Amino acid sequence: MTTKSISRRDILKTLTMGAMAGSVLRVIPAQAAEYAHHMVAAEKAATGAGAYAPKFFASQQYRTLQALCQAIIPADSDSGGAKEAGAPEFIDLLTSENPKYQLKLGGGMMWLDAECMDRYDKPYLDCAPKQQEEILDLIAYSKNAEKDPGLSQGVEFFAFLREMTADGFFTSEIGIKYLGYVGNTYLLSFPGCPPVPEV
Amino acid sequence: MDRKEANGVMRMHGESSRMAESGIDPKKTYDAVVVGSGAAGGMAAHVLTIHGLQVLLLEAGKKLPIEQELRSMQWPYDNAYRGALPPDHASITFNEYTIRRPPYGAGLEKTKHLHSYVGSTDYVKNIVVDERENPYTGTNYAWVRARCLGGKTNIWGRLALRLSDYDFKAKSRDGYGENWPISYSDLAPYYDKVDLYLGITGVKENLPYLPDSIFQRPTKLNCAEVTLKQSLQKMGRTLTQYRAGVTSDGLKHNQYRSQCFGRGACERKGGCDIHAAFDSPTGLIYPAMDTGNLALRTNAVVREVTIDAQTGKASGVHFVDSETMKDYTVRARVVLVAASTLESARLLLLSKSRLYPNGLANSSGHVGHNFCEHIMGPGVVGLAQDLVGKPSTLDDGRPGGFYLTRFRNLAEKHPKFIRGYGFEGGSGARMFPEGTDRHGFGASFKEEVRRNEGAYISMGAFGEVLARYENYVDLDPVVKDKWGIPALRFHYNFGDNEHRMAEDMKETAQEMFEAAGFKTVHVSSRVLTEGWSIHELGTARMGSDPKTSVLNQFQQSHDVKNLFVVDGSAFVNASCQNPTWTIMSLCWRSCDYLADELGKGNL
Repeated sequence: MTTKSISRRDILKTLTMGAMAGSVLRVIPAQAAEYAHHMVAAEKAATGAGAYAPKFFASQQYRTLQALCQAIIPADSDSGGAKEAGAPEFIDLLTSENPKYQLKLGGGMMWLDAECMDRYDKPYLDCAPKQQEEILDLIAYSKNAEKDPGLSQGVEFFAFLREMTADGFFTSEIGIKYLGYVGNTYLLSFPGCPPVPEV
Repeated sequence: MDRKEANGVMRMHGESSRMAESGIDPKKTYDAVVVGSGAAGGMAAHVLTIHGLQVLLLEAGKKLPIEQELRSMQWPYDNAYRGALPPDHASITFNEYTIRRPPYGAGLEKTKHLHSYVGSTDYVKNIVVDERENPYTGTNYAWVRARCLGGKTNIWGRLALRLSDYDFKAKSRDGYGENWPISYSDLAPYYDKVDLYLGITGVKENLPYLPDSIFQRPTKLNCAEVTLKQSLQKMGRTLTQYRAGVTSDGLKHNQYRSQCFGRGACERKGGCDIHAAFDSPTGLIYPAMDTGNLALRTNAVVREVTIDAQTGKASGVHFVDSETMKDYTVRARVVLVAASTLESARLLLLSKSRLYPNGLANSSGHVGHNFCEHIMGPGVVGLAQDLVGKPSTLDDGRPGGFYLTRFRNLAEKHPKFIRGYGFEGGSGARMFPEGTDRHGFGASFKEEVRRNEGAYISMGAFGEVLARYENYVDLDPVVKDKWGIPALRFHYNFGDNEHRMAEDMKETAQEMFEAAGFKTVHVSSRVLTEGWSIHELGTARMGSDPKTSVLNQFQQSHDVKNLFVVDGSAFVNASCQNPTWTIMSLCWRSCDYLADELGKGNL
């Protein structure tokens, strides 16, 4: 398959560029993300059993990643969550090709486990659901880092992971469906805003 | 592909014509040779062939199978590359434009092909040039070039605005720079012709500083845009539907273009594969071929305008075939340069001779100077809170959202800067959501992204960069392109007026969103790299004084009577309006004059 030979660094450059250029160009990183989904799917198919073999994260860390992704975007009655949408595979794939991501995510996950050891005497994965929610509540809001500088690395890590998880989810087919996007179809007239007569 | 196409000689599109199929006749003297096939070159081909002239159109790039490139309706997950660039392509990022210096290829050698920031998707990679084959040097500049039939019209933003006497006579208003040698009344009939021939959507507003076009069926504003419009009315400011160079009703006289079907793919950085949006090939060049008077030669990299040493007049051009590297000479009674503002200046500077040691048409020393464009970057993203949680609507099924017209330095003088700026913007649901960088996690985070999806509204400013003699391009003494042609060297920076204007853009953007009741999500104050607007202008400006201008009011060289430069290089200032419609209107006017003068034997 042609997709196997593709350097993922190109995608990463595209992702960075989109982020720099702001909301107008958001479609570009999204397309890059979709591309990564495609490669992951191809790999899953190639391994036969349909399992994805992580490229960067060790198995324990990868399970932590899966848990975090699903915590960020859980399944609900409308759709699957980040895990079902392939976000952990997507993140692992991009991280395997990008030293900056490796530092941010690898380092962040070590920070998280160390913090959980301090607080609960267990790594994140072994913590009780209540404890997991408690620690995520601390690092999911930047204002907490202002109050307690000790949380700043965790907050930075989580903000990055949240963005990556959202990219992975909302660019997948199930993510686009969940969003209810109704475009990319032929339309003879555009209804506009109905209640304003003069426009 | 047959052999003739492989050799770069275009076959006729539509009615067959012996002349176009035979490519270039070396023994023939064409009435006119046109260099460049974008908005200006296409328009020149259209007007001159209608006048019955035998025209040769030269394009440096290929004729691409453009519908296969653009694939406007393709879902990302149906794309083998999912929209991303294939492994042998990369594009330059904002950071790289900022940190590195041209030529940008150096230090970015990991991939075979390198493109400008626009060439960052699978859909555009073949339309924009390879930076390594086309290097330039000097100051930082995001130079976006498209070498292919139609040039940048294949991927343009489609905002089609007129200029007014606020622009043409700007010097009379604030004392800066030069007035244009024409008034709005000179150009108005040609704007009308362009409107009718190519199609434009929009709404009449009766603004003296942004004249109306002859519009086809307009697009509609969505709810957040209407809220902003009504709020702005109280401030005496105007928000109008995006004036798009798109035919919403169709064009009976053009068999190559379809009307717009609002498919919602317009936002993707790429073009329109049904050609409802104007592009030069379907809008101008194919119809011109149908007259039987046009020959087209692609892969023709023009490196010099040749001169008749006896008369001092232009005699034709030398070009090199971009693939075979073979040299060709063609002869013509008139030469029209329409290679894009910077490439046209480069070609004039390259055309040095004993007769014209500073380059062709350059007795004034102004070729390459007075280089101007639009500054961009400042803008705002807001949330219309009353739309949060509303059912999903189709908001991107139109060529654009809104245009917020200029309001600075009209009736009142701004204390900190001269000239003005406008905003392009839009609101509503898109394929990929905003707001994924917000706080929180879990079910509430997921649901919030969906609830907010259609409620975002954003806009970004485009402001006039003053034409200054000190901002210029010349030829690099060392660096050459793939064909051995000296590269362009930039000496170009934004000035104080632009930076003060950018500060104001950021402040007013935020104020206007707050006044409309939007919650501010993000304010951008960052100025993007010079060149980002892709609106470069002014390098061979028009004027009535041959000492301070390159061209007269008909884009005819003061020095060389049968040489015309019919693209954006003729602009005297940039105004803050997008230039394509003005480029084409000016070109139409000049080509009418050219045909008349040629008929009278004055060229």
